Amino acid sequence: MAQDATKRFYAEIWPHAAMLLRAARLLSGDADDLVQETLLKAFKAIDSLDSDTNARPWLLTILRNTRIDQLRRPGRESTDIDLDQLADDSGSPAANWQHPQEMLEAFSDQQVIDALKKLPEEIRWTLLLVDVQGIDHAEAAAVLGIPAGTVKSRAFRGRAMLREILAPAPQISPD
Amino acid sequence: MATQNPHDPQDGLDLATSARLAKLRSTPVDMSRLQQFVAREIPRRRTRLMLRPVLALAASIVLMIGGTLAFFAFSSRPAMASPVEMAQLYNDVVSGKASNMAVHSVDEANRMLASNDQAMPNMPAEQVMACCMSKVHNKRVACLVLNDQANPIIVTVTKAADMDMPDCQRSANGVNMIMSQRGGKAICVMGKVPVERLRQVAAEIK
Repeated sequence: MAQDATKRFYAEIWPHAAMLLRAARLLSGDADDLVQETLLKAFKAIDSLDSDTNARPWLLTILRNTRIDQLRRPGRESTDIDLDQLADDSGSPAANWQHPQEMLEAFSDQQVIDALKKLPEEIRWTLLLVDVQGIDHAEAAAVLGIPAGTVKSRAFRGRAMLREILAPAPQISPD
Repeated sequence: MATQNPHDPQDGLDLATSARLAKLRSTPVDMSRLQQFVAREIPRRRTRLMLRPVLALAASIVLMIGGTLAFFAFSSRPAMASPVEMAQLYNDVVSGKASNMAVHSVDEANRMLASNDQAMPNMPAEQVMACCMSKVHNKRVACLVLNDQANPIIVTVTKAADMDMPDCQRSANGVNMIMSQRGGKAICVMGKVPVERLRQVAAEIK
Protein backbone atom coordinates (compact mmCIF):
# COMPACT_ATOMS: atom_id res chain seq x y z
CA MET A 1 0.00 0.00 0.00
CA ALA A 2 2.73 2.41 0.95
CA GLN A 3 4.58 1.46 -2.22
CA ASP A 4 1.47 2.23 -4.27
CA ALA A 5 1.20 5.63 -2.63
CA THR A 6 4.84 6.34 -3.37
CA LYS A 7 4.45 5.26 -6.97
CA ARG A 8 1.36 7.41 -7.37
CA PHE A 9 3.10 10.35 -5.74
CA TYR A 10 5.97 10.32 -8.20
CA ALA A 11 3.73 9.62 -11.17
CA GLU A 12 0.85 12.00 -10.46
CA ILE A 13 1.99 14.63 -7.97
CA TRP A 14 5.71 15.18 -8.38
CA PRO A 15 5.35 16.40 -12.00
CA HIS A 16 3.43 19.39 -10.59
CA ALA A 17 6.07 20.28 -8.00
CA ALA A 18 7.67 23.03 -10.09
CA MET A 19 4.25 24.58 -10.66
CA LEU A 20 3.61 24.58 -6.91
CA LEU A 21 6.99 26.15 -6.20
CA ARG A 22 6.34 28.95 -8.69
CA ALA A 23 2.97 29.58 -7.08
CA ALA A 24 4.43 29.52 -3.57
CA ARG A 25 7.03 32.14 -4.54
CA LEU A 26 4.14 34.55 -5.06
CA LEU A 27 2.69 33.79 -1.65
CA SER A 28 5.42 33.26 0.88
CA GLY A 29 8.93 34.32 1.73
CA ASP A 30 9.79 30.68 2.32
CA ALA A 31 8.32 29.03 -0.74
CA ASP A 32 10.24 25.79 -0.25
CA ASP A 33 8.84 25.34 3.25
CA LEU A 34 5.27 25.92 2.02
CA VAL A 35 5.62 23.45 -0.84
CA GLN A 36 7.32 20.83 1.32
CA GLU A 37 4.36 20.89 3.71
CA THR A 38 1.97 20.80 0.78
CA LEU A 39 3.63 17.79 -0.83
CA LEU A 40 3.66 15.86 2.42
CA LYS A 41 -0.03 16.54 2.91
CA ALA A 42 -0.72 15.52 -0.66
CA PHE A 43 1.20 12.28 -0.17
CA LYS A 44 -0.78 11.45 2.97
CA ALA A 45 -4.08 12.26 1.24
CA ILE A 46 -3.28 10.65 -2.08
CA ASP A 47 -6.01 8.04 -1.69
CA SER A 48 -8.54 10.86 -2.01
CA LEU A 49 -7.22 11.76 -5.47
CA ASP A 50 -8.93 9.85 -8.26
CA SER A 51 -6.52 8.77 -10.95
CA ASP A 52 -8.84 10.36 -13.52
CA THR A 53 -8.87 13.69 -11.71
CA ASN A 54 -6.60 16.53 -12.77
CA ALA A 55 -4.16 16.76 -9.86
CA ARG A 56 -3.38 20.43 -10.42
CA PRO A 57 -6.47 22.06 -8.83
CA TRP A 58 -6.40 19.40 -6.10
CA LEU A 59 -2.81 20.32 -5.26
CA LEU A 60 -3.52 24.05 -5.42
CA THR A 61 -6.33 23.56 -2.91
CA ILE A 62 -3.91 21.79 -0.57
CA LEU A 63 -1.37 24.58 -1.11
CA ARG A 64 -4.00 27.15 -0.23
CA ASN A 65 -5.11 25.31 2.91
CA THR A 66 -1.49 24.89 3.98
CA ARG A 67 -0.90 28.58 3.46
CA ILE A 68 -3.99 29.44 5.53
CA ASP A 69 -2.72 27.18 8.32
CA GLN A 70 0.65 28.90 8.20
CA LEU A 71 -0.94 32.35 8.48
CA ARG A 72 -3.01 31.24 11.47
CA ARG A 73 -0.01 30.07 13.45
CA PRO A 74 0.82 32.10 16.56
CA GLY A 75 3.21 34.89 15.88
CA ARG A 76 2.12 35.28 12.29
CA GLU A 77 0.33 38.59 11.97
CA SER A 78 -1.96 38.85 9.03
CA THR A 79 -1.34 41.99 7.06
CA ASP A 80 -4.22 41.24 4.80
CA ILE A 81 -6.88 43.77 4.01
CA ASP A 82 -10.62 43.25 4.15
CA LEU A 83 -11.53 43.20 0.47
CA ASP A 84 -14.94 44.66 1.14
CA GLN A 85 -13.25 47.73 2.57
CA LEU A 86 -11.18 48.31 -0.51
CA ALA A 87 -12.37 51.24 -2.57
CA ASP A 88 -13.59 50.22 -5.96
CA ASP A 89 -10.57 51.56 -7.74
CA SER A 90 -9.92 50.93 -11.38
CA GLY A 91 -6.33 51.92 -10.89
CA SER A 92 -4.42 53.89 -13.45
CA PRO A 93 -6.71 55.01 -16.26
CA ALA A 94 -6.16 53.40 -19.64
CA ALA A 95 -4.90 56.69 -20.99
CA ASN A 96 -1.74 56.31 -18.84
CA TRP A 97 -0.94 53.05 -20.60
CA GLN A 98 -0.49 54.06 -24.19
CA HIS A 99 1.18 50.82 -25.23
CA PRO A 100 0.19 48.42 -22.49
CA GLN A 101 1.83 45.31 -23.87
CA GLU A 102 5.22 46.97 -24.38
CA MET A 103 4.98 48.76 -21.04
CA LEU A 104 4.17 45.58 -19.16
CA GLU A 105 6.90 43.65 -20.94
CA ALA A 106 9.41 46.24 -19.75
CA PHE A 107 8.98 45.05 -16.17
CA SER A 108 11.12 42.08 -15.18
CA ASP A 109 9.55 38.94 -13.76
CA GLN A 110 10.93 39.84 -10.34
CA GLN A 111 9.35 43.30 -10.50
CA VAL A 112 6.00 41.75 -11.36
CA ILE A 113 6.38 39.20 -8.56
CA ASP A 114 7.30 41.93 -6.06
CA ALA A 115 4.24 43.90 -7.13
CA LEU A 116 2.02 40.83 -6.77
CA LYS A 117 3.28 40.32 -3.24
CA LYS A 118 1.99 43.77 -2.32
CA LEU A 119 -1.56 42.80 -3.21
CA PRO A 120 -4.00 41.50 -0.62
CA GLU A 121 -3.68 37.74 -0.22
CA GLU A 122 -7.07 36.89 -1.74
CA ILE A 123 -6.50 39.11 -4.77
CA ARG A 124 -3.06 37.57 -5.19
CA TRP A 125 -4.57 34.08 -5.08
CA THR A 126 -7.11 35.03 -7.72
CA LEU A 127 -4.47 36.33 -10.13
CA LEU A 128 -2.24 33.36 -9.35
CA LEU A 129 -4.94 30.89 -10.32
CA VAL A 130 -6.63 32.71 -13.20
CA ASP A 131 -3.71 34.45 -14.88
CA VAL A 132 -0.48 32.78 -13.78
CA GLN A 133 -1.84 29.24 -13.74
CA GLY A 134 -4.42 29.80 -16.49
CA ILE A 135 -7.17 28.01 -14.59
CA ASP A 136 -10.73 28.77 -15.67
CA HIS A 137 -12.98 30.81 -13.40
CA ALA A 138 -15.11 27.85 -12.33
CA GLU A 139 -12.12 25.80 -11.25
CA ALA A 140 -10.51 28.79 -9.53
CA ALA A 141 -13.79 29.39 -7.71
CA ALA A 142 -13.72 25.81 -6.43
CA VAL A 143 -10.17 26.23 -5.12
CA LEU A 144 -10.97 29.56 -3.45
CA GLY A 145 -14.41 28.61 -2.19
CA ILE A 146 -16.11 31.64 -3.74
CA PRO A 147 -18.58 32.16 -6.62
CA ALA A 148 -17.19 32.28 -10.16
CA GLY A 149 -18.55 35.80 -10.57
CA THR A 150 -16.49 36.95 -7.61
CA VAL A 151 -13.41 35.40 -9.19
CA LYS A 152 -13.97 37.46 -12.33
CA SER A 153 -14.45 40.73 -10.49
CA ARG A 154 -11.48 40.13 -8.20
CA ALA A 155 -9.29 39.30 -11.17
CA PHE A 156 -10.28 42.54 -12.88
CA ARG A 157 -9.65 44.60 -9.75
CA GLY A 158 -6.45 42.75 -9.03
CA ARG A 159 -4.99 43.48 -12.45
CA ALA A 160 -5.83 47.15 -12.03
CA MET A 161 -4.22 47.20 -8.59
CA LEU A 162 -1.16 45.48 -9.99
CA ARG A 163 -0.78 48.11 -12.69
CA GLU A 164 -1.09 50.83 -10.11
CA ILE A 165 1.74 49.30 -8.11
CA LEU A 166 3.93 48.85 -11.17
CA ALA A 167 3.29 52.31 -12.61
CA PRO A 168 1.45 54.56 -10.20
CA ALA A 169 -0.74 57.24 -11.75
CA PRO A 170 0.85 60.66 -11.43
CA GLN A 171 -0.55 62.66 -8.53
CA ILE A 172 -2.44 65.75 -9.68
CA SER A 173 -1.56 68.86 -7.73
CA PRO A 174 -4.58 70.60 -6.15
CA ASP A 175 -3.27 73.98 -7.40
CA MET B 1 -18.07 41.23 -16.86
CA ALA B 2 -18.99 41.27 -20.56
CA THR B 3 -16.86 39.57 -23.17
CA GLN B 4 -13.64 41.53 -23.42
CA ASN B 5 -13.00 43.64 -26.45
CA PRO B 6 -9.28 43.93 -27.16
CA HIS B 7 -9.96 47.17 -29.01
CA ASP B 8 -11.51 48.76 -25.97
CA PRO B 9 -8.64 50.52 -24.17
CA GLN B 10 -9.67 49.27 -20.73
CA ASP B 11 -10.30 45.72 -21.88
CA GLY B 12 -7.10 45.75 -23.91
CA LEU B 13 -5.21 46.85 -20.82
CA ASP B 14 -6.79 44.08 -18.79
CA LEU B 15 -5.92 41.47 -21.41
CA ALA B 16 -2.34 42.73 -21.63
CA THR B 17 -1.97 42.51 -17.85
CA SER B 18 -3.34 38.98 -17.85
CA ALA B 19 -0.93 38.02 -20.62
CA ARG B 20 2.03 39.48 -18.70
CA LEU B 21 1.09 37.48 -15.62
CA ALA B 22 0.79 34.32 -17.71
CA LYS B 23 4.49 34.61 -18.52
CA LEU B 24 5.30 33.94 -14.88
CA ARG B 25 4.17 30.40 -15.60
CA SER B 26 7.54 29.55 -17.06
CA THR B 27 10.00 31.35 -14.81
CA PRO B 28 12.81 29.00 -13.76
CA VAL B 29 12.77 27.68 -10.22
CA ASP B 30 15.46 25.94 -8.21
CA MET B 31 14.11 22.52 -7.34
CA SER B 32 17.20 21.23 -5.57
CA ARG B 33 16.01 21.77 -1.98
CA LEU B 34 12.63 20.34 -2.79
CA GLN B 35 14.16 17.33 -4.51
CA GLN B 36 16.37 16.60 -1.52
CA PHE B 37 13.42 16.94 0.85
CA VAL B 38 11.16 14.65 -1.16
CA ALA B 39 13.92 12.08 -1.69
CA ARG B 40 14.41 11.98 2.08
CA GLU B 41 10.76 11.98 3.14
CA ILE B 42 9.25 9.90 0.34
CA PRO B 43 12.06 7.66 -0.83
CA ARG B 44 11.66 5.65 -3.95
CA ARG B 45 12.70 2.06 -3.95
CA ARG B 46 15.95 1.68 -5.88
CA THR B 47 14.98 -1.32 -7.92
CA ARG B 48 15.61 -2.12 -11.47
CA LEU B 49 12.30 -1.29 -13.07
CA MET B 50 11.13 -1.88 -16.56
CA LEU B 51 10.28 1.38 -18.18
CA ARG B 52 6.49 1.68 -18.38
CA PRO B 53 4.32 4.09 -20.32
CA VAL B 54 4.65 7.79 -19.89
CA LEU B 55 3.23 8.31 -16.38
CA ALA B 56 5.54 5.69 -14.89
CA LEU B 57 8.57 7.46 -16.26
CA ALA B 58 8.59 9.57 -13.14
CA ALA B 59 10.08 6.57 -11.34
CA SER B 60 12.43 5.17 -13.86
CA ILE B 61 15.56 5.61 -15.84
CA VAL B 62 16.99 3.71 -18.70
CA LEU B 63 20.21 1.81 -18.61
CA MET B 64 21.18 1.85 -22.20
CA ILE B 65 22.66 -1.33 -23.44
CA GLY B 66 25.24 -1.17 -26.16
CA GLY B 67 23.17 -2.77 -28.84
CA THR B 68 20.47 -0.17 -28.60
CA LEU B 69 22.81 2.39 -30.01
CA ALA B 70 24.27 0.11 -32.64
CA PHE B 71 23.41 2.60 -35.31
CA PHE B 72 26.30 4.80 -34.28
CA ALA B 73 29.18 4.36 -36.64
CA PHE B 74 31.95 2.03 -35.61
CA SER B 75 34.87 4.26 -36.23
CA SER B 76 37.49 6.32 -34.53
CA ARG B 77 36.05 9.24 -36.44
CA PRO B 78 33.06 11.10 -35.01
CA ALA B 79 29.82 9.22 -35.40
CA MET B 80 27.00 10.87 -37.29
CA ALA B 81 23.59 10.24 -35.74
CA SER B 82 20.74 11.18 -38.04
CA PRO B 83 17.47 12.70 -36.71
CA VAL B 84 15.71 9.40 -37.48
CA GLU B 85 18.29 7.52 -35.42
CA MET B 86 17.99 10.00 -32.54
CA ALA B 87 14.20 9.68 -32.69
CA GLN B 88 14.61 5.92 -32.52
CA LEU B 89 16.82 6.35 -29.47
CA TYR B 90 14.11 8.49 -27.87
CA ASN B 91 11.42 5.90 -28.61
CA ASP B 92 13.62 3.07 -27.34
CA VAL B 93 14.08 4.90 -24.05
CA VAL B 94 10.42 5.70 -23.49
CA SER B 95 9.05 2.38 -24.72
CA GLY B 96 10.90 0.39 -22.06
CA LYS B 97 13.40 -1.57 -24.07
CA ALA B 98 15.95 -1.41 -21.33
CA SER B 99 16.01 -1.89 -17.60
CA ASN B 100 15.97 1.17 -15.37
CA MET B 101 17.30 2.92 -12.33
CA ALA B 102 15.99 6.05 -10.71
CA VAL B 103 17.71 9.28 -9.72
CA HIS B 104 16.40 12.55 -8.35
CA SER B 105 18.99 15.03 -9.58
CA VAL B 106 21.80 15.63 -12.01
CA ASP B 107 24.32 15.22 -9.16
CA GLU B 108 22.90 11.82 -8.37
CA ALA B 109 22.97 10.89 -12.05
CA ASN B 110 26.63 11.81 -12.22
CA ARG B 111 27.38 9.71 -9.17
CA MET B 112 25.59 6.74 -10.67
CA LEU B 113 27.45 7.19 -13.90
CA ALA B 114 30.72 7.50 -12.05
CA SER B 115 32.63 5.62 -14.67
CA ASN B 116 31.33 8.00 -17.28
CA ASP B 117 33.77 10.59 -18.36
CA GLN B 118 30.89 12.51 -19.84
CA ALA B 119 29.56 14.19 -16.75
CA MET B 120 26.06 15.49 -17.24
CA PRO B 121 25.94 19.22 -17.81
CA ASN B 122 24.83 21.29 -14.91
CA MET B 123 21.19 22.23 -15.15
CA PRO B 124 18.46 23.18 -12.71
CA ALA B 125 16.37 20.33 -14.16
CA GLU B 126 12.97 20.44 -12.62
CA GLN B 127 11.94 16.89 -13.15
CA VAL B 128 15.14 14.88 -13.28
CA MET B 129 14.17 11.30 -12.82
CA ALA B 130 16.52 9.05 -14.67
CA CYS B 131 19.87 8.61 -16.27
CA CYS B 132 21.42 6.08 -18.48
CA MET B 133 24.78 5.32 -19.91
CA SER B 134 25.88 3.39 -22.89
CA LYS B 135 29.14 2.58 -24.48
CA VAL B 136 28.76 1.71 -28.08
CA HIS B 137 31.68 1.07 -30.28
CA ASN B 138 33.78 2.80 -27.67
CA LYS B 139 31.74 5.96 -27.93
CA ARG B 140 30.08 6.87 -24.64
CA VAL B 141 26.62 8.46 -24.67
CA ALA B 142 25.00 9.52 -21.44
CA CYS B 143 21.25 10.18 -21.27
CA LEU B 144 19.27 12.19 -18.75
CA VAL B 145 15.52 11.65 -18.68
CA LEU B 146 13.32 14.49 -17.50
CA ASN B 147 9.65 14.09 -16.71
CA ASP B 148 8.19 17.24 -18.18
CA GLN B 149 4.56 17.22 -17.12
CA ALA B 150 4.36 13.54 -18.12
CA ASN B 151 5.99 14.17 -21.50
CA PRO B 152 9.55 12.92 -21.16
CA ILE B 153 12.40 15.00 -22.47
CA ILE B 154 15.75 13.32 -22.98
CA VAL B 155 19.09 15.10 -22.88
CA THR B 156 21.96 13.15 -24.43
CA VAL B 157 25.58 14.09 -23.91
CA THR B 158 28.66 12.79 -25.62
CA LYS B 159 32.09 14.06 -26.48
CA ALA B 160 32.04 16.41 -29.41
CA ALA B 161 35.01 14.48 -30.76
CA ASP B 162 32.92 11.30 -30.72
CA MET B 163 29.69 12.62 -32.20
CA ASP B 164 29.20 14.95 -35.10
CA MET B 165 26.30 17.09 -33.97
CA PRO B 166 26.15 20.56 -35.54
CA ASP B 167 23.98 23.25 -33.98
CA CYS B 168 20.57 22.68 -35.51
CA GLN B 169 16.93 21.93 -34.89
CA ARG B 170 15.46 18.78 -36.36
CA SER B 171 12.39 16.63 -36.20
CA ALA B 172 11.73 13.00 -37.07
CA ASN B 173 8.82 10.66 -36.41
CA GLY B 174 7.11 13.16 -34.11
CA VAL B 175 10.22 13.76 -32.00
CA ASN B 176 11.57 17.29 -32.00
CA MET B 177 15.23 17.79 -31.18
CA ILE B 178 17.69 20.59 -30.67
CA MET B 179 21.35 19.73 -31.14
CA SER B 180 24.28 21.84 -30.12
CA GLN B 181 27.90 21.72 -29.17
CA ARG B 182 29.23 23.46 -26.12
CA GLY B 183 32.25 23.04 -23.93
CA GLY B 184 33.56 20.11 -25.94
CA LYS B 185 30.28 18.21 -25.62
CA ALA B 186 27.67 17.31 -28.19
CA ILE B 187 24.25 17.77 -26.61
CA CYS B 188 20.85 16.82 -27.92
CA VAL B 189 17.61 17.80 -26.22
CA MET B 190 14.67 15.88 -27.60
CA GLY B 191 11.05 15.05 -26.94
CA LYS B 192 7.52 14.97 -28.26
CA VAL B 193 6.94 18.49 -27.00
CA PRO B 194 6.98 21.87 -28.76
CA VAL B 195 10.39 23.06 -29.86
CA GLU B 196 9.97 26.12 -27.64
CA ARG B 197 9.88 23.87 -24.57
CA LEU B 198 13.05 22.12 -25.73
CA ARG B 199 14.69 25.52 -26.13
CA GLN B 200 13.73 26.39 -22.56
CA VAL B 201 15.36 23.18 -21.31
CA ALA B 202 18.42 23.72 -23.52
CA ALA B 203 18.77 27.26 -22.15
CA GLU B 204 19.01 25.85 -18.63
CA ILE B 205 21.96 23.65 -19.49
CA LYS B 206 25.19 25.07 -18.18
